[in-house]
Amino acid sequence: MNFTNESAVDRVIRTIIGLAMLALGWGGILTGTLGVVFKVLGFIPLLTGIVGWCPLYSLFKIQTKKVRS
Amino acid sequence: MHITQFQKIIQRDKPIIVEIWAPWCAPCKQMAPILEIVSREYMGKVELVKINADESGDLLRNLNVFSIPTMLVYQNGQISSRFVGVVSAKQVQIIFESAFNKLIPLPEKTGNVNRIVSLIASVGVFLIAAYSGFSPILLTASAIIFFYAIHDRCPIWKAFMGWIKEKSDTHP
Repeated sequence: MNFTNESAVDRVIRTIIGLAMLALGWGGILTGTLGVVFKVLGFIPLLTGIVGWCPLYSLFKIQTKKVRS
Repeated sequence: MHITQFQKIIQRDKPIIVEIWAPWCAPCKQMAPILEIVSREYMGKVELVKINADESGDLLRNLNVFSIPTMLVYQNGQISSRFVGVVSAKQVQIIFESAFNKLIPLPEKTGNVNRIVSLIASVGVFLIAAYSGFSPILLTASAIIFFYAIHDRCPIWKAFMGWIKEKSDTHP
């Protein structure tokens, strides 16, 4: 239900990074292999930012979101 | 309910769960008996406050509640979580248990963060799609992200999810 592990700031930063990577890849600023890498990998920070859940955080049991103890 | 009256209620020591409903709201009617049973279970531990949306327009605007049913969880006068739309019996139980154990994650206005981040992403992806010659992949991604941002206000989606939750509750 409420499974997020990222703070609001974390999410905004990820979204911006994701959008920047997609813009570099899909906008044709980066070409060749690097361009393809940015085209694909840009979706990862974008999606984790939108959803608010990071699988790596879950794996290492960390979170940037404050939790009331 | 008036805003000052509401402010007094949420300052109480016990966790407060606020249910915003309306007499004409079918999903609210669906949730009412569930809330009644669970709140009785947690009597003295968690307080349930029901607010009729039709009689508390100013309060709803103040709380940024734009759709019903909405459940707000308050701990020590501060909102700790917000649930928009139909909530299943199982989820109601989890919300009460979490409120009692003070385990609901902060910060408040999670729904707003979700919506803002998703809308920014959706517009950003659309602009990139436009710049790159309207790539179908990016346009689809933009549309999906946009729907994710507003899905909790879509009546068809709400009805569909309510039906799914009802089915999963009756067949656990």
